[in-house]
Amino acid sequence: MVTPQSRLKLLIVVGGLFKIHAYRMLIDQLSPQITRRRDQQASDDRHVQTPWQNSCIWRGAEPEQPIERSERQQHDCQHRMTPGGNQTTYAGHQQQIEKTDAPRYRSTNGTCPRQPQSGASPEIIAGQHVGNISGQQTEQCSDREVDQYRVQWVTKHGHPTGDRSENLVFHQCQVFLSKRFTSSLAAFGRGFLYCCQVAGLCAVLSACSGPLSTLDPAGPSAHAAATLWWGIFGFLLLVMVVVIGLCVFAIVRQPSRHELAQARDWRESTMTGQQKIWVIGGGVVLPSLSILALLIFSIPANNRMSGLPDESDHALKINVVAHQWWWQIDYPPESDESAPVSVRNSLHVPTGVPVHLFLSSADVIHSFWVPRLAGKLDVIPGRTNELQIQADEPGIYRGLCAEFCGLAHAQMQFEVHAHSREDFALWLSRQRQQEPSAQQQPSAQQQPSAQQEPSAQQEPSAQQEQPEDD
Amino acid sequence: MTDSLTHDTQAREKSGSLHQKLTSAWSNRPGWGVLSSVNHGTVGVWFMLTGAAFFLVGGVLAMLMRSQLAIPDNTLLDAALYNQIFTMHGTVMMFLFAIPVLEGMAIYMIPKMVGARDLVFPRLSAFGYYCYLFGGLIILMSLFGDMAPDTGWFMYTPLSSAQYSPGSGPDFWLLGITFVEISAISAGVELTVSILRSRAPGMTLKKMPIFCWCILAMALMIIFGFPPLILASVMLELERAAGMPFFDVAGGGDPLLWQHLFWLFGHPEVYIIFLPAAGVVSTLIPVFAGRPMVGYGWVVFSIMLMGFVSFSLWVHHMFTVGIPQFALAFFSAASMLVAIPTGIQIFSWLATLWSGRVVFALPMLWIFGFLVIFVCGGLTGVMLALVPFNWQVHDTHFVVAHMHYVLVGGMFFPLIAGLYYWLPHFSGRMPSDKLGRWAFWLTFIGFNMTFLLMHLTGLLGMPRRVYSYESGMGWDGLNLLSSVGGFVMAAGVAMIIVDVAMHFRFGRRALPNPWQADTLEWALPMSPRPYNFASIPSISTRHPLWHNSDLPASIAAGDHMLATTSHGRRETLLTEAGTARVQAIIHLPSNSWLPLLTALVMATVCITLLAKAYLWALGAAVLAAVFLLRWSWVNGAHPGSAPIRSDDPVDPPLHSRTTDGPGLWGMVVTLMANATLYLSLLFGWFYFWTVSPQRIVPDEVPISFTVLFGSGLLLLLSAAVYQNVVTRARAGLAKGLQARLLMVLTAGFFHSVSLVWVMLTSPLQASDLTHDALILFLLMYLVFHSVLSWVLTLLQLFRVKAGYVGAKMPYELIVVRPMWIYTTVVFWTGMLAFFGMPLVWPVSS
Repeated sequence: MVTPQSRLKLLIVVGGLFKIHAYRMLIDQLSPQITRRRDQQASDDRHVQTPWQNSCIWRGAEPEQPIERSERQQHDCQHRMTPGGNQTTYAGHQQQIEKTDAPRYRSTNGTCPRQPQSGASPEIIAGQHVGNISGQQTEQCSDREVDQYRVQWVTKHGHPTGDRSENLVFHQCQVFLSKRFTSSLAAFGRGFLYCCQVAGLCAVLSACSGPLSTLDPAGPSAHAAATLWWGIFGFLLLVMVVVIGLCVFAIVRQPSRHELAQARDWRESTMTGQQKIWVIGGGVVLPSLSILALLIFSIPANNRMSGLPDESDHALKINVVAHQWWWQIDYPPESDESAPVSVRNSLHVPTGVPVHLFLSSADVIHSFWVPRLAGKLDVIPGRTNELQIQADEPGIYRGLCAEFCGLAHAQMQFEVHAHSREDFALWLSRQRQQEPSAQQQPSAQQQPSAQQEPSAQQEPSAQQEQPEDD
Repeated sequence: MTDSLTHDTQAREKSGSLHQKLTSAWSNRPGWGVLSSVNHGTVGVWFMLTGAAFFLVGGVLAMLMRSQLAIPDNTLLDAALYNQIFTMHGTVMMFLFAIPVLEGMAIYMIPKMVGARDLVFPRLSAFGYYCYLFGGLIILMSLFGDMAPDTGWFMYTPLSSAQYSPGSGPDFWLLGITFVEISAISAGVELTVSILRSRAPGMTLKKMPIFCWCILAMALMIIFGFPPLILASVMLELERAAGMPFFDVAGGGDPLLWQHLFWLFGHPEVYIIFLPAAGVVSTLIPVFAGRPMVGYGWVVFSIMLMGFVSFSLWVHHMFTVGIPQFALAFFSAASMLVAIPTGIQIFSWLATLWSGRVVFALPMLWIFGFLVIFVCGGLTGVMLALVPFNWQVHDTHFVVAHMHYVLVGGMFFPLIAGLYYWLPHFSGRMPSDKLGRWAFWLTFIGFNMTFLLMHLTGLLGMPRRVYSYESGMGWDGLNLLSSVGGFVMAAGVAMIIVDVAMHFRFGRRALPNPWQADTLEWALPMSPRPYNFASIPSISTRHPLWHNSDLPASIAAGDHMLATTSHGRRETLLTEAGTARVQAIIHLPSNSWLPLLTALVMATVCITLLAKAYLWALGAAVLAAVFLLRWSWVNGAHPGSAPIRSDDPVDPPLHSRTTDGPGLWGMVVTLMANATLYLSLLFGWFYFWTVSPQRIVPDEVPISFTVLFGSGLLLLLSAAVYQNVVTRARAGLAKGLQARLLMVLTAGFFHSVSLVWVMLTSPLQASDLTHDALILFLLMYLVFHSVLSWVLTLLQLFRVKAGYVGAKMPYELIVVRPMWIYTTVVFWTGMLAFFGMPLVWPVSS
């Protein structure tokens, strides 16, 4: 779980990193005067006639303006001495952070995610499925009320999992962080190359949420993945900054004449001790240790996410059949007398318990993905893949097909409705009572018409056979 | 004083006449005749220019995509068109730009770097180019006919099967790409043999530039990496056109087999693209740091290790298909292990930069951009290798971002660095520094703006390959910025093109060796002559130009080897693979129309197959075979090649008068590629037996094993007699040569006929069962090889009769020998695997 505290720790680390490397290597490096100066030095040191001194093709024609080394060091020092950084950017940041508290969750209750458009384009197919879903909603008034309550709550408070106090703590953390962070940011901002990275990081801070965001987890698997992400992101960012810092330093550094003389002896085939440290330390030891650390760090997430369905009878088992371009969700009968339930494009699950999904495909390869609940798993013809998902809180979570599956792949979306256990039991029993004969419609009969002629005309008939639900 | 002046004048006159004679032997034909050129310099430039043109096509497609995704619910493109565009973008960039342009660079650079006058199979270079050009045009044609492939560049079946893609889009892809891959394989064979056998004397493997090591690794990876995809493409095309259900669940197949075969190719391909670019980096960094590469041995080791390890990682593209945990763990760890050879290379570069005073010229700026972007892309690659994280971001824009960081950062930036570095070498002029720097910063900023943000878009759940998205997902602003960045990058690319185009007219004259480089190509005049080296020097160091600054002058003066031109042949040296001791003189073919004609006829095969005119296709295929046979007829002592003359060199001799030569190596390397294809077929067969979840195994295999066994014995007989022919020819025994060859042909004839009879008469249900389709495929493969061996032997018989081959010149007989051995081995291992498997594996589904 990513608690606000853990996020805080991480961001402090990240912010610190930026500050460590916030001196002006890059500016020095990119300044044309210094480049020229180095050119000259290098060419002098080589004791050879340098053609570029005459032809000046890429040097430009300005006169030499050597910058003293002390001047550059002064810049560096100056820079290190301003840890507080530029405070003026704080206001802007706060504004940005406040924006994140604006409603992030649209009331998706019952509305179709994609409105149908006119014309016989494939959009219609998906649109109509969902349209029908909303048409049948009168039968689930009570469910909707539950959902509506949740959704509205979420809208109001902006954070789906925590209580209000936790939310405040998080907000304060962000404010605090933004101070620290903007200071390093301002220092670093002058290094042009990193602008993009910083912008990306700011965006991460302010915009982790979203209906399909993997960084806004709402179930144990997605939590594990998000934690893993923040961990490896922090670690590898550190690695990247170090490597690129070394690279810049290696370019900027001026080796002594003695060193150069030693280094230019190209008949020397053995490496010096320092070079061995570079190649073996950086090339072998660093990656090996990093890999080991990352693999160990990923073990908990791996265990969490690949928890295979246990064979106990208690776990809820649901069959999911992927079609071009919709999802068929089948609830197998609990006993001989109860009826099977089949719904389209919406998966109803109880909260707090793992649900076992048996994924199969009626036509091509699809991939089942609810980003806020769990990782994706492909749905492959001829196979049944098993995926375990769990929602912690009631609500609506959006899902989609993640493997390209043809024309209307972009519209092959669905919703996961998580109810409290009682509400779910109520919903399921109500579904089972509804026209059991119509619901037993086997999916296989309907599949050929849907797959061979994915035209708008075929779909309505298919829909009539299939009871819709939401 | 006067003496030395006279001496100078004499030397100049001597070298002037030498150059004149060499030019007359090596120049291309004038006018349209230039299309018959086979010289590596010409063909390499063709490759690179064509690659650049395809890059622009791919770039325009990318801009269309970014325009469509700039705002939510955009209606600029509809789903059908968008799907074609993203498929074509991937296909064009990977197959028609990245690989060919690097092949072109290698074809252009390698002989100049290793001190040869040309590649060892010049006609094959031209043939490869035309295959690439025609294949690319065929694929591109589909775009204009609105029937382009639209199932993604990795063509996952069953979406790409006849049932779900009834149009001809996938056919264009499968046939066109296979055609382009023939080009890649021929470049791979040629580069491997050229690097190993035509280096300047004294340039041992240890003294070879790192660029050559990278190209060698790339060429070998092409040899082993492309055949699985060729096999898979042929199988999928057979499934689509002839209904053989290799990947169809209904026949007992498994669509995942396609993914395995595709990524068996697809992952090495990433390194095929990266390694040459790394070679460019390893060439430029020592030059601009002014000191030799730190840890040469380590870098070479890591290049080879990388090539090797990249073949064991393919499953990391398939982490979400639901494979067992232990397999996931293995491939996850293996994927991360690649970080070690990459790390060695990166830190060797850094150490080199560290120990020198870096001249920050324009190419170095691009190298710096490469380092930043590639390190970032490599680290996201490590992230993606972690299975749990992969499950979240696989097939999202995070992967799109990662892949572009690795490919653009790892290939495009070094490529442009190399372009700016070698441009003066090619044109003799310097490009504009100002424009070049603008171009770099625009490209760099545009690139990061586009793709850095895309990581976040992906983390926010945006899947790849969606033509549109709704607002409110948190993706709107990011996508808009990405699109803007895309156009900024496009402006940068446009500026590079303007810069390069203008420098030919306005660029300042470059001085010789303007960067003070160490490698041999800078010893050539700028711009280089078609024969490269007027005389081929002996090399005693890894950095010949740093060691001996007089080398260019002495090469031009003809002071080294092969300065004789009286024979009018194109020649270069054949040296030992490891020690680079001179063994023979390779005589090379001159300009020829055969490569163009053969490629044209093969393009006709491709087009007639697309039009489903199978009889025409068969006719064209036969014609192509005729052209190829004519091609191999003009070899050795043929008057069009190197007829026996009284002044034939003796020490070293001409290669066709020896028992070893580039042709033999070419044959062996080609058979290595072929063996990879065969092993992929065996992989498919074992996969069917062990993994396919719904395999259907018929009760009995309706094949006459007695006939098959007898046929195999005949094949053994043929191969044994052929072996005897070679032994006797080596020993110089001319007697009974033709009779023995006739015996080989007779036995081979009955073998082939009985094999064809088995194939045609067995009641295999090849259009219903994957099992039977695989067996039929194996039989077709065996028949093809038997017939091919037979035809090649027949050709040898005719050549013996014509006097081009014989006991005194057994070279070509020796070249054909591995073919017979290979045919025999695949026949018997095929029998063992295909008909032994049911005996040891329980038949159950």
